Amino acid sequence: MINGEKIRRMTKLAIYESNDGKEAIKINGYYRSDYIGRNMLKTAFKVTVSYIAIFAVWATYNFDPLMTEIYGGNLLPLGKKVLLGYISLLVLFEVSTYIEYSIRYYKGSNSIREYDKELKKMEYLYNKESKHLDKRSDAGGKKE
Amino acid sequence: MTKLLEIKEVLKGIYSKYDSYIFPVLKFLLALIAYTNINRILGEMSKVNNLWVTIILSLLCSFLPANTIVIFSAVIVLLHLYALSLPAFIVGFIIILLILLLYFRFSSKDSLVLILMPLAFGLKIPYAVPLIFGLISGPVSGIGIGCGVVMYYFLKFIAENASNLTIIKYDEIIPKVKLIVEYLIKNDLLKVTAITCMLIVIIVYLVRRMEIDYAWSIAITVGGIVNIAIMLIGDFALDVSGNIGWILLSTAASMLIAFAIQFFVFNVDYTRTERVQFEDDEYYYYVKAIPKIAISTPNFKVKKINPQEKDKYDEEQDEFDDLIDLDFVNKLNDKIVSKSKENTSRSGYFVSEDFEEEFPAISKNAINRHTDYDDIDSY
Repeated sequence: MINGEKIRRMTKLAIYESNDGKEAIKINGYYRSDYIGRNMLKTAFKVTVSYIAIFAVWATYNFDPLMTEIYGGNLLPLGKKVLLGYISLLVLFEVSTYIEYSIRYYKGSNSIREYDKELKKMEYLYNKESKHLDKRSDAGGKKE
Repeated sequence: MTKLLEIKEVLKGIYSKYDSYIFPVLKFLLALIAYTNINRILGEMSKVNNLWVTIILSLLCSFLPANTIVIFSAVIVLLHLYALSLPAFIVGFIIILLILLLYFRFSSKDSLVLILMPLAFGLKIPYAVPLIFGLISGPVSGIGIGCGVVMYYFLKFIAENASNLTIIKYDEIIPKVKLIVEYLIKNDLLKVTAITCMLIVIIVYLVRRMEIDYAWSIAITVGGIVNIAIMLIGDFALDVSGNIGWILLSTAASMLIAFAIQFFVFNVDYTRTERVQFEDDEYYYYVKAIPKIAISTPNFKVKKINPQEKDKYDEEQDEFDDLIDLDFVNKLNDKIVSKSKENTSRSGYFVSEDFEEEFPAISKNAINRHTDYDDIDSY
């Protein structure tokens, strides 16, 4: 028999799972430090690739002065500048990643708690129902 | 006004009923408009610049996530640039790569601005996009809008200088790349427009979040004023953009669009119909959950279009009225009123005699305080 109460609850759970819950369930699989660290690593990779791209454009734009500097053998100040630019971009993005993903983790773990409560209620309903069915089957009569 | 509210209710009904059709159609139209425009401006590669390819890609976009429109447009742009000239392709590829790596990371939801911004420029109403995204989204979408501005000016430059950018020998690549980068870096109009758009997003967002009446409308108005102000300052200080009348007209049009969209789309506060499927031990369920329509803002006067049935509370009230003797209640009321008048102190507030006897200090205080209030009232 179809149980209306059960369907209502399951529908709400399914809607959550297909919307906000998608990210939250993924987040729930990580420790906070792992989740944030993983995303910071990803950011580091992306910033590095982006910086190389930016550097390539910059080098093309300043092609002639760059060449004279390279042939002049005076690479240390240039290297320092490039490294400093890279580090400052990296720090900027890592800090914003840390903030962004801390917030996401906090929100995700909060919403998953509500979801958990609903799941427990569902489990309770299930148990109640199956007990009810067991009782009926124990009621008597010849068993196969 | 009531007429408009009625229209809004009807719209809300339509949205929640047909949203599974409306969204794909909108996505299809947006993709179609975007791709035909890209082809019109850049249309260098004949294999992509084909009506059927455009339609098939748009159809794909209609049921894929909205971000797909952006990804496909990026691919189409790059293909055209590749066919046009290698330096343009290199610069375009790096710009798109940076946008994908640095911007998509944080705000993939607002990626549509990257498409909408150049389209709005084409329609001469670029400031409608920051106004609208300030209303529906956060300040982060300002970065996307900035990227959209850069993308528009880049494509415009490529389209205008197409013949200049084609190369014959490979050692021409570096000077041409330099030419494009120089245009992007030294273009004051680009800078002013990008900064204006980002500021509009932030300001509209901040005003919209304030706890004041008509925050949304005020936000749009403030955004429009800020837009005009910054463009004028940019005009005088950097001598860009030139036509002041044009800026005013474009801003007014953008504000009108923002108001219209605010009224018809964002204010309806609609929650979408959900289709989900799940199973238990006995059944598979395919459930369509339609949200109940509730009027959430109590300030509105709701005009009853059809005479409605008495609700339960009214019925109970009627039954109660039938049960009791109304005359008796009225008499009792009169008595209480006259009695209280006898016991009323100078200030006009009722103080029981017993209470005064028991707690002289408190009741005196109470009277005094009331007297004070009376004095204030009399002013």
